[in-house]
Amino acid sequence: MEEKTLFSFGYNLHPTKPFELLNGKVTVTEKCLTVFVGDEIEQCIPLEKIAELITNMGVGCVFLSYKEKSDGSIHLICRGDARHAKKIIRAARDFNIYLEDGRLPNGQNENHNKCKKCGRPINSTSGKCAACRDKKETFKRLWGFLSPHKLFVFSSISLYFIISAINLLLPILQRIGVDSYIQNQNSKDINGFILVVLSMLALQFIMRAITVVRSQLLIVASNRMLVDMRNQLFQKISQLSISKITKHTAGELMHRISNDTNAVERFLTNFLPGTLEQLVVFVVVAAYLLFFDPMLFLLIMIPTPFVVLSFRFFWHLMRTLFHKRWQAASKTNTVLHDIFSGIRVVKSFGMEEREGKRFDDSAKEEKNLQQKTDGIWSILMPIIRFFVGFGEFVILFYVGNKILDGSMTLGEMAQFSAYAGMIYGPLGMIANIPRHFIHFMTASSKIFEILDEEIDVIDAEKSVDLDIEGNIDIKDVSFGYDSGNEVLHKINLHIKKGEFIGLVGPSGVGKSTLINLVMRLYDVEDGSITVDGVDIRNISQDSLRSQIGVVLQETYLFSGTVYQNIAYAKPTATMEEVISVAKLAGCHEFITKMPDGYNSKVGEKGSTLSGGERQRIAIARALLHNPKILILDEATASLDTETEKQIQDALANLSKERTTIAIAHRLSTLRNATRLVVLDKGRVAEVGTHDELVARKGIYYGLVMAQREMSNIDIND
Amino acid sequence: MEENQATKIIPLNSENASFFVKNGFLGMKYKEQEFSRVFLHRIFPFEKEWEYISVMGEDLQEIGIIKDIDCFSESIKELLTQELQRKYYVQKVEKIVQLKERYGFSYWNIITAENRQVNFTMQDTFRNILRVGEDKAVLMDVDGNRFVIESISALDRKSYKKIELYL
Repeated sequence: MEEKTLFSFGYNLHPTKPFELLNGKVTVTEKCLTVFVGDEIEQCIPLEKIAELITNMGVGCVFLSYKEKSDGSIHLICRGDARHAKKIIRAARDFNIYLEDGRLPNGQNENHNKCKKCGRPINSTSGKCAACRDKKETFKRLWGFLSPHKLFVFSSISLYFIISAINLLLPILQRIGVDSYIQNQNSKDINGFILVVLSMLALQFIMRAITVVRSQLLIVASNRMLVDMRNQLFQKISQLSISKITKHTAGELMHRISNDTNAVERFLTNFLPGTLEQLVVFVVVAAYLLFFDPMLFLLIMIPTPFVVLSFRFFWHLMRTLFHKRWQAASKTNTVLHDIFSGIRVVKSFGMEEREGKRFDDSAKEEKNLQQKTDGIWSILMPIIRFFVGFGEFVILFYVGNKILDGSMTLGEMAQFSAYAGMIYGPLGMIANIPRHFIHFMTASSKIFEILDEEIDVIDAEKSVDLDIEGNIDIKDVSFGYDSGNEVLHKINLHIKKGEFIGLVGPSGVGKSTLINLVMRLYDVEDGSITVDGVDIRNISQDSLRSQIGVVLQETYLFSGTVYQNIAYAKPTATMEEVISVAKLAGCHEFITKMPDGYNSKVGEKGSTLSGGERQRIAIARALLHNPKILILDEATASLDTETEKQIQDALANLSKERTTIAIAHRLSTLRNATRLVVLDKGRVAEVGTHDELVARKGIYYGLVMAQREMSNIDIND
Repeated sequence: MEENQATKIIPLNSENASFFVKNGFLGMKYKEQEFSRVFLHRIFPFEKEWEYISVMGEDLQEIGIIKDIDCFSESIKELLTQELQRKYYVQKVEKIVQLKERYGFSYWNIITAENRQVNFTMQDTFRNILRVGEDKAVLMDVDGNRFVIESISALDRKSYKKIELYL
């Protein structure tokens, strides 16, 4: 009887020949792991020989090997490129669980991230394949920006048609005035002439009044739309996980929120309606001219093909230049932001000149591109204007001849000239379409890039708001920031309400990652984290984080007063509450001694505070909303030992009702911890009290001894 | 002045080290010690592909640094080259046949140095094209595959026009 295949996965690279491709497959049955190349069996390894499967990430590829039970030797099985990596890593992990527990995790052959139609990657937020998406969708999305303000926009378009109708009427009145009264020597009807002139004046007045109303409508629509777009973009960015946000520089994000939204707004509320209006006028006037004098119409249309061809010729170049200009502007922003954010480092290393040059280079690059695009534009526009002007001369010649042979009156000439101007107006607008359109497309693609970004940490459909007590259960948690590089492996930890857990271990073992997972800044890959028995993925992020207080080593104080910074997490806090937590965090005294007390400005434009002072304000901020879970990531590292001890003792008194997880390299910081958890290479290596772990003489003991030795050196020095 | 052990660079060359392959993995003999498996890491992967190679043991502690693989015999050099090429699986782009962008994704069809036609997808294209110096670019697709354009200026005109927008 054929053995049942438990699971299988593909690979595509020759294990030893670097660039040779293979059509390989690995299948696992209850008895053996079989490696195929095509239909041929390459090797068959009995499961009883395998201790575990091991994956090693290369760059752009992954190696799968197995550890032999008998002698611990490691043997290469196969190699796959990055496209196969996730499946191979997942399979290896599942295989190891199968070997260990005899169970096979669910979702072995998941392939949710590829499009069923074309096989390309899909955007997991929208669940759609960008390649297969209907082009109409872009217009629908753009319409989405415009539709809340459609009343204003369409009203302004309607008003424009009234303005245009008046514009069409004026040359007719002009013709009547010229032909019936000025040119007609027999006419003595001065009243009729005055009536024509007054009508023209009245129409002009009405037209200007409507123009004012129309402009107001457009101003309201464009400003509202701009605010909406910026809010939408900001909301989206704030929903993204920290890892996604930090992929972009602050300067670049600011550029997208301020400049790109501006460009899109200008196009949608000004240029697009303007073009539509002009097109309608163009069609109406063209039809009128075609009806009354087809020859004149053809002469008027002579420049059109030249205008269109000129733009076609420059299209690619202009598009590239606009994209490059966008990049250069964004880069300049980023460089500036970078320099000013790190101004202390720049100054302390005396690098003002170098940074100045960096900014200068970037600004010059932007200037050069600007000059180039403007230069091309300055060549293109006269060419177009020449064709248009040439057309006007042809018309003048044609009309002049008609007047001379008496088949056209002077009034008709004035009317046709005015209409010809109305035709060339839209043609001039056509001349500007590519420039505005390219600018708009570049800006909108940048906005959509952010809006289409995948939200990787989302609230579950039935997420709950939980009144947290503080029991945390970490079960079989594995996690890596990118597939293949596992930072935490099968972490199991039960933390009871009110416990003070100290996380200990060398740098890079996953301590901060573990607390990031508890705060749900990332979702676990395997296993689960529960708070009071509820998986944190089922607790709303707002509810979870509002009950967690965090103090990080690097504190950030916002622009504002000390009071506002402490009250940040609880804006409704009373002054007594703020003072009380400030006392607890040991910052009340130095704040009071400042000339402006709690009203002292801090943050970007604020007074200079020492690292320790900022740290204490941050601790007060974290304590104010009385969090059920308190996370301290090297929170007291920049304090002197005496102040640190005071704060630790105060925290210990308060933490009876609160679960605290603290990371500290200075082990004395954790002296109040009920339990210490030692992490090593992403695994829990030791758990116990200080005395228990010292007695065990393991990793913790080594760390304690090393620190003791260091303090001896310090003393002896 | 006594040399600081922590900052000391241990050079690996043909006089103190030799390499071999066992169970499909690279191993090394260094002085009297034998390492059944070693890992090679390019210290400057974009600038010095065959120089400054860090050799680490299974405990991921550095054993030493190969300053230039040229210092080894042809056979050892061949082993090191193979090992580096199979660890750093980076395909060379010879020609860009097609490049389309839609909704934040770009779809590439290229021809590699092995004359293979390869399709791949990039997200956030500008960010995932890394310029190395003036003339080299490294592309990273959505899966984490890497492609390199060794010389942008050597690309044919059509290929260049396609990628120009992103450079």
